[in-house]
Amino acid sequence: MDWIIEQMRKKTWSPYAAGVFFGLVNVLALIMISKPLGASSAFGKLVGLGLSGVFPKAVDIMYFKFVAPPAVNFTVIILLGVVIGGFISSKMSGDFRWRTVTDEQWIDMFGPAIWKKWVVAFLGGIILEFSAGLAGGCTSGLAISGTMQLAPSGLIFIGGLFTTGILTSLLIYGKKW
Amino acid sequence: MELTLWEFIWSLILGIAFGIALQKAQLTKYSKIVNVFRFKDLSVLKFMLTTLITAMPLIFILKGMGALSLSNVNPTYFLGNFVGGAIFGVGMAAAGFCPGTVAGGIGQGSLDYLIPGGLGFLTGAYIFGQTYTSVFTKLSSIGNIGSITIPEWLDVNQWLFIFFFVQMTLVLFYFLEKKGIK
Repeated sequence: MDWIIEQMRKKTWSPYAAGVFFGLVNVLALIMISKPLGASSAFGKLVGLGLSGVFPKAVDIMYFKFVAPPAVNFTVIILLGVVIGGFISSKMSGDFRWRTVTDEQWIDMFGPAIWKKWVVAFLGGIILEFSAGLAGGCTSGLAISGTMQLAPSGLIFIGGLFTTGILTSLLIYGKKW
Repeated sequence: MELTLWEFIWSLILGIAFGIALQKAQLTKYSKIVNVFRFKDLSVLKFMLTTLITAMPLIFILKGMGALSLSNVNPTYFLGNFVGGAIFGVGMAAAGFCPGTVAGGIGQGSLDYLIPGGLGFLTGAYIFGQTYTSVFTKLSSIGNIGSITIPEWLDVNQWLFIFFFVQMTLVLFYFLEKKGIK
């Protein structure tokens, strides 16, 4: 127990240690809930839930009726858990802080203006969630969950992701790349 | 709720562990995500590959023992998987988060992840739902080979493939550490 608390107080784990831990968590998910972990599909459930309360006409379409009906399912609980896990981890290590711009590298590159980061975060969120839908999952739900089960789609997704990820950062960072 | 109490409890525990792993690896920070694409800090790659070489052999050993069955293997449809991944890479390199790390980042107090980030993800999910029949259904029908594994698809021995994957990853790690590449 002391050892666990000691680890939780650390701000950073080596990516190898965190990776072994996360690998075991992924296996545990298949054993305990018979489903691979993922994050992207929860947002579809959440927007469906929100809209069916205030604007039911908006969810009166094929997708929300038959493909992903609004409901609190396991993906929503997992996503809630991730938020709680991030909170526990950062609180115990003293890394918790209200941040309007995450993190220093952004400020060094693009300045402290909040609106810039918030516009990019909003547009980035749209792009990420829409494309995760097209691909059939995200970094967790396809790149990791797919590849660990030896699905070709996992590796194809990783190939696409790194190709444009490198090109985009090259374009944004220019000489500072 | 379409969940049993047991599923609820386990989903919550697994989610918390997921969030701890992401936050401790610092993947809930903009710079960690972006710098993997700049080859300045390969933590994201090291984390992902370590997760894979830990989970992959264990899953297939447990499957061989009959302790678990793989009923949710992600379907493969070549064009959609690749195009989706390619658009995803643009968003990930620009915003410095992805669907899991944005949630972990909300937990560490990042308001840019919570407010514009969260709204963006919800908007993206709604657009995906609205265009599902006109875009997704068509895209996912191209080169669709269904829920198949690489060894089944290429007709190679699964243990040989797993051995090769783990071996190559360990060689890469050895090289990265020997050269002191972060």
